[in-house]
Amino acid sequence: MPQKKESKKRKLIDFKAISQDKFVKIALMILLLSFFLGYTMRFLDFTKSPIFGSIGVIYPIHQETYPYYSQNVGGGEFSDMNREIIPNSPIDFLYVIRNNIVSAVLVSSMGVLIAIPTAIFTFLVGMSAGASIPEVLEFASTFIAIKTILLFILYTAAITLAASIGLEIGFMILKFIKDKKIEVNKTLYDKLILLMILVIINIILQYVLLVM
Amino acid sequence: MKSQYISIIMMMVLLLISTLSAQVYGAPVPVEELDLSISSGYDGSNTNIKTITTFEVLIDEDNSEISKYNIIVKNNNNYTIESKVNINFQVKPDFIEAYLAGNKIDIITKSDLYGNSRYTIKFDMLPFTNETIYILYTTLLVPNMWNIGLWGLQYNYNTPINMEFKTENYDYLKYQNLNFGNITFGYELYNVQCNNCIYKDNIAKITDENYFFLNWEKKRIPVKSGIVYIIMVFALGSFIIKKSLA
Repeated sequence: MPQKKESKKRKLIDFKAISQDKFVKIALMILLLSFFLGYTMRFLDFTKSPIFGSIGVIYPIHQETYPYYSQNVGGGEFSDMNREIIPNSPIDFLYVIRNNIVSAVLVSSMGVLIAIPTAIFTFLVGMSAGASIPEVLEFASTFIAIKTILLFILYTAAITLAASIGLEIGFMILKFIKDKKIEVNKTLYDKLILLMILVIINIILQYVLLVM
Repeated sequence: MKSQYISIIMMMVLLLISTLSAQVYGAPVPVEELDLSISSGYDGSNTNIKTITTFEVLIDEDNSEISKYNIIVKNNNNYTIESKVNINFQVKPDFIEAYLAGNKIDIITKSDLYGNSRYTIKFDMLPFTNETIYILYTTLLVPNMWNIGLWGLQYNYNTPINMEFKTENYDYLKYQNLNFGNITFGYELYNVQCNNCIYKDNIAKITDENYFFLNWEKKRIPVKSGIVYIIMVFALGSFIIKKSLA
């Protein structure tokens, strides 16, 4: 009976446990450092285009923001002259759904391959986002820049969770090879639930704020 | 010992053969044997159509382009030629007008989309006549969108005007065009690549060329992204110092 009471008391998502999870910390560290690298490279014109920016599954927000500022690149003259918005933009609701879901599933499931692809993909996401943000800050309007940064934070949260799941799965597999037993931490399920919620929020917000 | 000698001799023979073959392949061809027919001069004297394009282009600080093109077309034939002047822009021009022999002529809009604005002027050239077309437009120069530098934007310029000529029977027509003009800039250019033109003191001069091309870079300072970068570096630096002192 006391056990039942304890399980009733437990929250659906234990945010404290997630925030203290070592895999979340590792994933966040990979993302932030790669973001800083990408930002440095783009800011100093080491690269003159967002790295993998056109590959939506790595960082979908870049392609979503691009039509807003591409006309201002020349120095803001376009908006002053009421230029037409670029036609045939590839962004639609399917693009937003596809790229958000696939990136989350990809990062988390690649943990099966001993987490190395998860770490690499997380690094690429961070670098691509880091290379995209300076462009948005420089050429987009302040309102678009604020919206982009908000969506970037939410996307980073989702990818951090997905990466931590991938890293944890990779760690579990390594442990299974070594000790021949599988131990699944309760936090893993919490992270999966939170990831699903974040992906849905991301899809809705990206579509409403940037695409619609 | 004997086998060593044999191998050394074989190596020397191989080396000799390789150098000899190199000499054969690399031997210079005598000048008398070269076919120089390709470079026999083309003076345009036997052309069917000859055009002389003179222009004055002004590109101001905001990359707005104000251009005046004057094209003299000479029909050296005893038959009428259908002429077409195609004008292609990256951005829809704010203003475009064309005059044929001093009279305003209709411009056919082929497309006025972003990144693809195309216009055409059509007229017939009577045998052994000259026509003068005067085109006036203002548009905006767009930087290379595949190479957006935060510290400098790359631009290029070549004439947006192309001519097309045909006869009723679709006969082959020899066509020669010569460009003369100046492109004046309202700002300092960097990394200038002037193909068939001379750039000096913010002016690119084109003289007696059938083709020209100009690439350049316009400098800018990334203020907003720079502020965010400084904040990031400061935060990272203070975090490292804090951790090292702890």
